[in-house]
Amino acid sequence: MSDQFKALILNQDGESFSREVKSIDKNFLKHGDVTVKVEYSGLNYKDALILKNGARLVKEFPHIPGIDFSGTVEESNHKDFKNGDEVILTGWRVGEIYFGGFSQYAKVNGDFLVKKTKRSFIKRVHDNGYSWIYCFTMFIHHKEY
Amino acid sequence: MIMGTAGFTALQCSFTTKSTREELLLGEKVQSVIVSGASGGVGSMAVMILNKLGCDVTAVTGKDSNKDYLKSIGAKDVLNTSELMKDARPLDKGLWDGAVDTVGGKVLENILSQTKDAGIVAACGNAADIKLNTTVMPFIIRGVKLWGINSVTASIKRRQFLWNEAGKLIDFEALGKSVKEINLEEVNDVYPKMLKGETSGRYIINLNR
Ligand SMILES: NC(=O)c1ccc[n+]([C@@H]2O[C@H](COP(=O)([O-])OP(=O)(O)OC[C@H]3O[C@@H](n4cnc5c(N)ncnc54)[C@H](OP(=O)(O)O)[C@@H]3O)[C@@H](O)[C@H]2O)c1
Repeated sequence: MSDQFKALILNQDGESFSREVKSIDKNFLKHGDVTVKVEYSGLNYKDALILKNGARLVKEFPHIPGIDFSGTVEESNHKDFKNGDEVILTGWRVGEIYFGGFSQYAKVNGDFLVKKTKRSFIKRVHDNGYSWIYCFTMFIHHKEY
Repeated sequence: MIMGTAGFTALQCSFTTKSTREELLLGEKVQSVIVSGASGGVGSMAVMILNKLGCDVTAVTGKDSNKDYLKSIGAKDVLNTSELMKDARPLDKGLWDGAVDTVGGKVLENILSQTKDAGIVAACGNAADIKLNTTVMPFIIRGVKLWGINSVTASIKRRQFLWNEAGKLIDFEALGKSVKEINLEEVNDVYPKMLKGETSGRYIINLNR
C-alpha cells in the first residue's frame, strides 16, 4: 500500500465548510478492520448534501465523504475477507459517521462489505443467416457496480 | 459504481413495487408503473429495471430534453414533473398499479392519489421536498401502500440477493451514455449543480484518475 494517497477532505470552520483534495497517509484512516483500494466511488445526491455542510449527518471533522465504493481488499483483519477480494460497499453510514469512498484507500468494518457477484447474460448473435446463442458468465466490473 | 447506492436503491424500490405486491400481497400483475425523478441515478435505473421486469413504465422528469433518453432505457411514456405539481385531490383517477418516488412533496402527493387499488408506492427520496401533505383517502379507500425504502441498513442477505439480480436487470451499455466519469478534483464543480437538480444520470469518481 502506498504511504501517501489522495482523498477529498471536508472540513468545518464555524459556519463555513471547505472541501480539498489532499495527500494523506493511512494513519489518518481510523475506523474498521478491512482496508480497500478504492477504484470507483459514486457521487450521489446524499453526497452532495454532505459536501455542502455535512447535512447534520457528519458528526466529526475533518471528514472523508463518499457513501459508496467498489474496490479490492488490500489488508484484512476480518475472517470473511482476504487480500485481493473484490468488494462493494453501500450505506451503513459510511461517508457519514465513518470515513467514506472519496479516497484512494478506505478502511471499513468488514461486516459492511459485499463480495462481487457473477453476472450471467445471454447474447444472440446473427451471422450469415445463422443465429447463435451464447451464455456469458462474468464478473461485474468495478466501474459497473 | 455505475449502479452504486442509486442502483441498489432502485433495485429495492422496483422489487417492492412489483414483486412485493405480486408475491407477498398476492395481488394481480403489476403492469402500469410510474417513476419520478426519472433522469436521476435512482430514477433512471428504476425505469430500466421495471421495464425489464415487464412493466409499462411512465417516467416523470423536469427535463423534456431527456425524453428520448428515457425512452431508450425503457420508458413507455414520459410526463413532465409540472403535471404532478398541482394540489393533489384526495383521490384522483386511478392510473398506476405501482410507483417509485425519488422526489417527495407534491409529486408524491399526486402519485398517491392516482394509485390504483392495493398499489405500492415505494418512496426513497426527497430531491424536491421532505414534506408530504396527503390525506388518508388513498390508504383507506384504495388500500394503497406507502412503502418507505432505506438502503443504508439493508441486511447483508438482502444485499446479496439484490446485487445478484442486478446483472440480469441492468443494461450497462444503455446506461453508459448517461454516466459521467470524473476525478476527485471535479467533485467540487458537480455537487452544487446536483443540489439544484441540474444534473442527470450517474456521476462516478475514478480514484485512479
Ligand atoms: N432512502 C435511501 O436509502 C436512498 C438511497 C438513495 C437515494 N435516496 C434519495 O433518492 C433521491 C434521488 O437520489 P439520486 O442519487 O438518484 O439523485 P439524483 O441523481 O440527483 O436524482 C434526483 C432527480 O430528482 C429530480 N429532481 C431534482 N430536484 C427536483 C425538484 N426540485 N423537483 C422535482 N424533481 C427534482 C431530477 O430528475 P429529473 O431531472 O428527471 O426531473 C433529478 O435528476 C434523493 O433524494 C436521495 O437522497 C435515498
